[in-house]
Amino acid sequence: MVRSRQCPRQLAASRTVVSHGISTVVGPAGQRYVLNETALALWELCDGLTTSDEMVSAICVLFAAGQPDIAADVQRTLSEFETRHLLEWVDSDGDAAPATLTGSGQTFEERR
Amino acid sequence: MTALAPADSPAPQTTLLLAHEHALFREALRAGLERYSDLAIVEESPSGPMAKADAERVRPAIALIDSELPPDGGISVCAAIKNAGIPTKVLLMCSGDDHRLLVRALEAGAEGYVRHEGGLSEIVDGCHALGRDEAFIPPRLLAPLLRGLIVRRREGDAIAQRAANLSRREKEVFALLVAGQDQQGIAEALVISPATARTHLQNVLRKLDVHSRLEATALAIRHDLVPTQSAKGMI
Repeated sequence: MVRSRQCPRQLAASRTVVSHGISTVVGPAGQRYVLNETALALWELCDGLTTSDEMVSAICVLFAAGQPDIAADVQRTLSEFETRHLLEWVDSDGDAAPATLTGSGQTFEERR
Repeated sequence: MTALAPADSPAPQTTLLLAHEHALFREALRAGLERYSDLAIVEESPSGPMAKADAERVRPAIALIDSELPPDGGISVCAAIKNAGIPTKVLLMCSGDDHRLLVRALEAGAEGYVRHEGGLSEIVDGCHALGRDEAFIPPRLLAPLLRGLIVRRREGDAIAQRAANLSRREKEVFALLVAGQDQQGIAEALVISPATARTHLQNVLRKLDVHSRLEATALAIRHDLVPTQSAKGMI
């Protein structure tokens, strides 16, 4: 379960590469992922300071979908990031706060 | 299109109002959009007041409004259309990737945002998205926009917390200030001395962390802290 008072943060070893207009996230082990637009926006918000609740609230302003649906999508996407070892969870003061996330989906595709 | 429509019926058109100061821009955009049979420009407006009046009269599906539309800019026109209850969606046209402008546009009720730099294709994509009842934000602006919305929300929460720390008397004084009363008016309304009213006002400014009565009033309006009607009701 995503804990709302903790913030997802990109792992320091991960990075984003933009080439020919396509953004690719490169994980610590060199694995590459092409994110869809919304997933990329969420990825950029994984700064260790922004909670998942704040992400959900902001997306709800933009899109007509219901809050529960958007919350589920955000949770699934963040879960995918964590499952692929791209992010960690920290308290808002920056301290690491190990969390276990579960989820699945096809938010992004893996490139080899 | 309904299931009973003949197979060769033309696709339903999305009607557009085009609001831009310059005739050359409007004519060029009209020429470009005429290539799309599902889009139809039904009115053109060179100014904000005319755009609002035309939207009210014609009721197009979408108003394509330039952010620099004179005299007060496209966001003001957007807000006027929304406040009038006109069921027209607004697609704001802007130059550059100014996410702060985008946040303001969304807060004014705009459903979409396209950039001049995105060319005709981005405008067409935006019109099609709004025609499908979807919002339209250029992908590269999505993250800064979400961040801008989050920052605004945090600021709003912090200000609401500060306002909640006002005492009951200070809230009454604040409401009267927002309703347009000066120190003397506040004193008379609350049956207190002007000096006491002044002390309360100073406390309000300090607790809200603002430096003037005007700033306090602007803060209240921007963050909906004290409805004007409530303020009147306290008098």
